[in-house]
Amino acid sequence: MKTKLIVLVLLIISATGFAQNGEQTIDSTFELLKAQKNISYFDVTGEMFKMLSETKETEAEFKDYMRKLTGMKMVRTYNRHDNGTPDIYKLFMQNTNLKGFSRLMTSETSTRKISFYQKKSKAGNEYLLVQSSAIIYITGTIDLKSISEFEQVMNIAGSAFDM
Amino acid sequence: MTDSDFEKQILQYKKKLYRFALSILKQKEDAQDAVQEVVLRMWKKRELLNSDENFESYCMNSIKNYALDLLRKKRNFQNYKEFTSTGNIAPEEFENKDLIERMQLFLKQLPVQQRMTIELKDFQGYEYEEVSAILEISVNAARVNVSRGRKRLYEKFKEEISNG
Amino acid sequence: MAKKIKIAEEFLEGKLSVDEIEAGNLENSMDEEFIDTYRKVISKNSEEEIPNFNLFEKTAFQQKKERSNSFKRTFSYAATVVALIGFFSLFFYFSTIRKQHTQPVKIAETQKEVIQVLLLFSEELNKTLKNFDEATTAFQPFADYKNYSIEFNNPIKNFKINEL
Repeated sequence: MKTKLIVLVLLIISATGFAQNGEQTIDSTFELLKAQKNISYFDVTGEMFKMLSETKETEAEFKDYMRKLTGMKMVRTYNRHDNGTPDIYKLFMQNTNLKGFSRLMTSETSTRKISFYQKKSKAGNEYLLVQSSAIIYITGTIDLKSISEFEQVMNIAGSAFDM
Repeated sequence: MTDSDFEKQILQYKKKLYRFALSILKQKEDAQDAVQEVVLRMWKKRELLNSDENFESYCMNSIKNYALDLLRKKRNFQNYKEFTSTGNIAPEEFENKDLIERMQLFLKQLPVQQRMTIELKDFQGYEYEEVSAILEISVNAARVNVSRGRKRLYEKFKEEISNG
Repeated sequence: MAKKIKIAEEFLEGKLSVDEIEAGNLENSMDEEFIDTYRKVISKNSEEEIPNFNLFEKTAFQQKKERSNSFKRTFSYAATVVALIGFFSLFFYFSTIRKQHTQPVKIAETQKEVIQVLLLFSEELNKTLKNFDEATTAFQPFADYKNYSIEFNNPIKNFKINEL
């Protein structure tokens, strides 16, 4: 019982460990990150998603996803053995104000750290995946379950989509 | 990663991937199918893969995830939470087998987590840090699982020796 | 004279690998025999030939399918264009065809990238959820729980990944 209590306290401490973040908005942190060395950047706007959801090229299975998305940004590192490649996990956490976001979970091993965040509002949901090699920011009316199911959707419909 | 980079890199891990899949799934056909399926899935997202990241570790990790999923789907585990329980091998399987073949059978009988760590550490020669990265467990957990597996094999070995 | 190794402490606890144990350096003959057998099991496994299968069998099938889909798409697209030529004036044809040539390509590329990013997010999410599930069941020693944390008051606490 005592051990369980200690573990519980540890979990709560780690869950609140990210209370201290920076002051920048997510968008401005992405601007900061994309200016770093060895970074690739990808940004899709709501207008583009609207177009993707309306085009005949899009398979039915994916159309619903496109309809529910209003924004997507991703930064990725490449050439990680170059000393100039930044630790984007650290940079993101230090600079971004994540007020209003709830941390869903964090997993950390000797080589990998990953965190998931979510913010819900009437206007839509925001999801963040933060890891040392990539940061993904998704906005829209999509829910977490649909994002999780996407892997299965891809396995079924991916082949029809040339993926 | 370009198509040719992907093919070149994945080909050199064929043996390792197959052996690792076999250690989890036990059946040759399943292991072969798992490797082909994982290669396909990785090929689909090859443009997102960084060739300079630890590609080998990523491939092995993908095999682990896919093979464990397959095991769950096939309901090889009566109950997911009974991961650590061991099944019994039918006595006829031991007939006409020498000590080494019997030890191989005992190895197959280990719980999947112990089988995976022993396969990676003892049979494929990975360091604990690498095993930890592939299986996404801590270094300590990797060492504990190797230790438990070895201890179980040692006990079985002693039984075999004392039974003559 | 080299110090005799206590197998239970060094090898079985996972501190030494089998290669680090020298013959004749163990405390008793049972341990010697066990290490010798263990080595033989490892070498037998590594000497076993793996089946000669095509690593890219599923990938090649997929590529073939893609080519066929691409041909069908190109064909239907071409048919649409031809129909448009017959229907509209020459001037309108030129402006339309230019638009349709450039737009679908851009859209297809963006769409592919969007899908890959979504797939990456989805896979990482599922992988972390599964690892968390495994860590809290049988895989990890209890002390390693601190490597995983999950918010108690969040929407995925009752999220059943296996029910998807």
